[in-house]
Amino acid sequence: MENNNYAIEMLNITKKFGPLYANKNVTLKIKKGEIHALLGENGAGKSTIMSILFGLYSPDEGKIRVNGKEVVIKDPNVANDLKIGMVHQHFKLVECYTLLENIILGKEIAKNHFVEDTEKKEHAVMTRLYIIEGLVRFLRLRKELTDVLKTAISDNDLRYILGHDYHFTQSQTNAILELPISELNDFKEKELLSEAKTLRDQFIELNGKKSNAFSKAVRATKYGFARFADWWNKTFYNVDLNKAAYDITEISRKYGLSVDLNCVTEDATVGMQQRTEILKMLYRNADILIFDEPTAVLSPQEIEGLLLIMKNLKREGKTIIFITHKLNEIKAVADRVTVLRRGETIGTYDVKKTSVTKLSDLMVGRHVATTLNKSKKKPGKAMLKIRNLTMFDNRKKKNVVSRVNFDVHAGEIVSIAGIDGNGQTELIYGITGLEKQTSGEVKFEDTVLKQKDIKSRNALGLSHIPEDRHKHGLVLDYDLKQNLVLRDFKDPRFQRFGFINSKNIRDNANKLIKEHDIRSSDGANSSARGMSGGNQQKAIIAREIARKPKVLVAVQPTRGVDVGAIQNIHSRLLEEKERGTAILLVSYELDEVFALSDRILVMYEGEIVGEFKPKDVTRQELGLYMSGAKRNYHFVEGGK
Amino acid sequence: MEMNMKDFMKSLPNRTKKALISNGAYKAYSSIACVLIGLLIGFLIMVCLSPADAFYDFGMMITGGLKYYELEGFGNILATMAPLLCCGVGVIFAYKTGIFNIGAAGQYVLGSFGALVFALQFKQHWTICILMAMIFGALWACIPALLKVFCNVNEVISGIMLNWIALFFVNYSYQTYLSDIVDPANSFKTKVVSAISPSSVLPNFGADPNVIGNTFTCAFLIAILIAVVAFILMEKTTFGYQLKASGYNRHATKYAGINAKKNAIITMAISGAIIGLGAALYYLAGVEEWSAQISTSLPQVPWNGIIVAFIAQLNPIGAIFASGFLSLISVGSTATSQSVFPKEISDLITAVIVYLSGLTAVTLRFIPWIKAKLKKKKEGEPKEMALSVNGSKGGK
Repeated sequence: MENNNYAIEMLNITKKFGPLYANKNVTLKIKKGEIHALLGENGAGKSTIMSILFGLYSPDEGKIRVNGKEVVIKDPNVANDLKIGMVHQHFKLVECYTLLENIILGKEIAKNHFVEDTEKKEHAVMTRLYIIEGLVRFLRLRKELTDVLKTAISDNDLRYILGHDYHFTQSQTNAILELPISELNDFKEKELLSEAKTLRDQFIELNGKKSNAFSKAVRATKYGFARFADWWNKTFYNVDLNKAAYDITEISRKYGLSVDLNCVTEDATVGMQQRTEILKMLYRNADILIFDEPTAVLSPQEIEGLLLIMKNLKREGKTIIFITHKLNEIKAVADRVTVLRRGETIGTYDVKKTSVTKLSDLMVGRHVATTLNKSKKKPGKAMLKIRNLTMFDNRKKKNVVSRVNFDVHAGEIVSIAGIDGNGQTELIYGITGLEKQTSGEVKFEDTVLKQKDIKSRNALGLSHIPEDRHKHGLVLDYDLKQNLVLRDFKDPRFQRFGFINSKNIRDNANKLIKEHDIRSSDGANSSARGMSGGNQQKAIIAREIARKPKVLVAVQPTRGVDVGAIQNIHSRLLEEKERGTAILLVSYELDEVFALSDRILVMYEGEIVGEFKPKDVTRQELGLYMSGAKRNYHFVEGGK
Repeated sequence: MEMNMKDFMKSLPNRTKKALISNGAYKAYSSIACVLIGLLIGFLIMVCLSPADAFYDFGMMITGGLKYYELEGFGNILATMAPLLCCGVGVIFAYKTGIFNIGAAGQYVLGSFGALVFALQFKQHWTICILMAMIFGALWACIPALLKVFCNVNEVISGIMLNWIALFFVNYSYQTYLSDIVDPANSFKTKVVSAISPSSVLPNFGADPNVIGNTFTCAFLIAILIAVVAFILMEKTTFGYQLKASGYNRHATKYAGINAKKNAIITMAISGAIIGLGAALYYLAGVEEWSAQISTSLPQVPWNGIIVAFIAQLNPIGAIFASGFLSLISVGSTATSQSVFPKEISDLITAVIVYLSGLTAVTLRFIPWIKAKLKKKKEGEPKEMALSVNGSKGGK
């Protein structure tokens, strides 16, 4: 009976990838109707255990029980059947579909009324046609037998022969049998044939009215390929969007999930896409909902909305698993929390009885002090001047960065806060030269960068920690020492007359590895591909800082990096600031923005909408600017 | 036996040991494995064709080039190897930058054209002929490179098209403007270089043609030199560093401030030049004459060059061995009993090897797995040893 209290029990789950334990003896018990948070650093094994539950991986050891019954979840379809749904961190929506289409994708309802009517008519016509055909044959046969056998064979016998020897269907034979015998004599063959012809025409017309796909399905059903017909229906059938829209609106009203169903997915806001994902699960009657770091991409307002939705879902009796590493969110909604560390369960705790500091300690296993920018040093002269910078996106056919103005001074960290996708990426592309700017001006000290290629920007002293370390930051097939000179391989230290000085490159690598605590399997020779994300990031930062830049552009420097490495990276950036580097930081993490910045600029829809000192603004206030609810930015030449 | 092997491994110096378990070595092992399996399959096919002759002729195919024809065969092998090696190195060079130079055949045709025109028409010294072949090949290779860089045209498609354009252009030229240098009596083949312009023939250091064959020249030395230079260029220079980086990840090269467009064009030009050189080494050594009449088929050598590139796992030094091996079995296959085994059997074997070497990427993936297995075994071993020691003690 105890089992019935639990919606999900994952007992002693172990999952190995090669020699690495992603999950080691993890036990997770989730009660029915609770919000259960799963807390852990990056790489603690949260995603792995959830992937196992969702059927994406199969565990090496351990048992899974759903509602007290032991199950084997070999693929996500099984998970769906068990009413487990998952909202992935990266939404799995078809960009060019409307939200409605995305929700019903794979679970379309057939549009019924018209087709049903047609089918009824068609059925009537077909039956009549069969009967007439049968009658014609019957009459012919009788005529042939007229003289000789008329007396010997009765009409009933003939009918039997028709049914048996002429392979008429049961319905045809029945229909003929039902006709009164006296009537048979009144039928005229010619009349019958002409009626059959019109019937055939009718049938063809009716058939043509329906879509080709459907008539095939009907035919398939007739011939008994029910499964095939079902598949055909699902695949090619006209979808009843109205019915689906009605159902979905009901659901969204029930749980407070507002979405514009007719909005095309790529135009929808991130929050709306996420609500779509939730609706998708609810539309499939999921009872156990897994949220994989759902708040990472949302603005503070949207996060509040989401937490409210989660509470609504709980009230309606759904069970929720909430993966996160944000403690305040856990405190806000979760009932219980299970902490994972390095693939192992640390324990399950009652959220109300556990303090945030305790949870944080449990998560990281040691106390993490936030690095704060406490320097009192005055910023120096303006190193990077952005004037009316505009970037046009050919694909989106609009200015993704429009008329942006700001300065970054020496010894100052300027952060650009904002939700992902508001033009930050393109702004940085324009500054670093990865894409050509459409108009405006970027000045480096006193040099206008417009005509400069990336090489000369590098030479001027512009360093760039790119947003996507795999795409831009590293050549993954090169080893660490080669990656550490990716920007400086032409430096006289590393080459002479074009010949690589491998000794200096190795020494350089060893030096940076030591200074920055870059851990890898084989030191300078280890392949970049095999390194962990945090160490890859450390390597990039080591390389960019070692160039002693005048301006450092850092985009999401701590993305996908564990807490220890985050701390390390933050202190590096602050050291650079002390050294007098002008740092432009783009981050989607407000914590990071507050911890590091001297000034915060907020970007919304390609424009700077606000400027703040970190101590003068609250997160809520910033959230309003980030989500476009407020704007107040007037650029003044030379600063305020 | 196993212990002997272990002792032998232990006796090796550390550097050698490291080299034997490096990534490069694994690539070599998998190549060798592919070659052996290819040979085995070829042998099985020969057994199917004629079991009685299979053993002898298979041996003949492998060693015949050296044994049957004696030194002449060796000279032959070197002469056919040189152009093959150049084509292989050319293809490898482009491939490292992420460009598949399937237009090798076109560059080869133009290279041969350059070499033969300057040898037969202008009667120039062989160095000038080689230089012209390289320039012709380089220019022809630039066309797909420019199209790729500026118009985003896939180099495979434009390369294949340009192969045929090159072929028909060259044959048309021989039959019209340059009809002096083709011999109508000999089915429109180009005239023999040694007869028209002896100075254009590659030097053979005064070796006796009767002993080592009349196709033996310094070509193989030039080719090996090119392979080594290509290796150094790729592995030891910043130029090679840039090229490989843009082959691996062009976004990162852009970020690093490398002009990937310029590099792509230069690489293709170098690749074309090396392939053109290969053509010069083939036709100036007098291995064969260009046939201007059979205009429906492209020369075979550059295609085999692509094969060399893949068997060599895209390593120029490996290409030396790969091209040597291919020449060995192709010369050897002419020594088999032609009535039973067509000489195409060597082509068949190389085809099998190429298919298998395509699978080396897969086999390489098994290596960590095999390593793990071996490790497990090793971990298991000491326990067994300990047990047996105990046992023997107990016995005492």
